[in-house]
Amino acid sequence: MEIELSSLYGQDIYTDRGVYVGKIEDVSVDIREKRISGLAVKNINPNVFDLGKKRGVVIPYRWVTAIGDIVLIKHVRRRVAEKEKDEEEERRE
Amino acid sequence: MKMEKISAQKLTDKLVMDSEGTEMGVLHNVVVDAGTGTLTELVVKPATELDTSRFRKEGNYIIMPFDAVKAVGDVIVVDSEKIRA
Repeated sequence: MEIELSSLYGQDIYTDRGVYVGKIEDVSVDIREKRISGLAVKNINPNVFDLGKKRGVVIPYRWVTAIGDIVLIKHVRRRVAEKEKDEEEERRE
Repeated sequence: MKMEKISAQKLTDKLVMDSEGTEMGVLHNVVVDAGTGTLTELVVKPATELDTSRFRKEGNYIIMPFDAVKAVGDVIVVDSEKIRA
């Protein structure tokens, strides 16, 4: 299915077990790989991500399982935002 | 290529130039394959002086393959050989 990037902004994200994750604020794209690298999410459900003082998280696009009227991602255990950031950095290297 | 990962919100409204220095317009949207996350097309609001007859059009916008993108910096540079339908 082909969609326009702007249609993702503001969409709600749930896990495939029906748990609310947050709202898409922005999409991170990798110009060289010509693909979406992650979804920047705000309004995060604190039961899913422990944000600490951070405002949002970037969810790797490979977690996304479906995009329709809402976005579904693989179910995740409660994670710490800091850890996600480290994973993101690792992939960059 | 500079800035490999970039916010899609920041891409929107960037100027699009071809590799010959011709102004194409401003980026309106990017089309993606939702399954794979692959960026497939640029949706560009054409500059008023641009001859759009040789482009694939969708309403008031012209469509270019994302493969044509050569660089993204202050402007988006597209390969003039790859942008026409």
